[in-house]
Amino acid sequence: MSHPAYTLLMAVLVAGAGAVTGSRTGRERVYAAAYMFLVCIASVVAGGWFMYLVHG
Amino acid sequence: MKKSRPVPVIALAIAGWLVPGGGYLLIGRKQQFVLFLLLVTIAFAAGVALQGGMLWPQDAELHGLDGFTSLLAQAGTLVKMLAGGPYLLARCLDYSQTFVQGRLHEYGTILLVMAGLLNVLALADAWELRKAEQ
Repeated sequence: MSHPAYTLLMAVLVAGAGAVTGSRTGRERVYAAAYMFLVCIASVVAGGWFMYLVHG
Repeated sequence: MKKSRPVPVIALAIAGWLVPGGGYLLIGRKQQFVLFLLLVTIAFAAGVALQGGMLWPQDAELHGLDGFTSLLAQAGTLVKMLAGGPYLLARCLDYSQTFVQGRLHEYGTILLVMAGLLNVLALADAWELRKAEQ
């Protein structure tokens, strides 16, 4: 499994779990899942660039 | 309308551990149960497919690691057990990647740990919802 595919799998799992918890409507769960997924991906991209700038 | 009897905490804990998301099923939240069952099972199955380590680390395997790292390795193994049903099924089917073999497949090991953590999250959330509904 490549690193990007693994990252996507982890982001989907985290976003799904975060959205399913609590008392929310279906629409709120979809928004929460999309938001968490995008934040996960943005964090990985930002972390990747940070490491690239630090280590070259 | 007659209020149903609250689910005992011990039943919630046992069902939540044995069946991923089982706590939700006991409090009547079937959608959340199905979704968590899928999430935990997918995480665990992917971890097994990637040959993640699952057995308790032996002394020889921890040789050369500092105390804190050894403790983390042992805690990680404990967390994998929290996945419940999938963990027991994998053990029954003789899935036995050791810690050393597993170290070569870090992705799988992390997914197995994640499956355990997701199951704990489901259990804690079912507990909170049960309290809120009472």
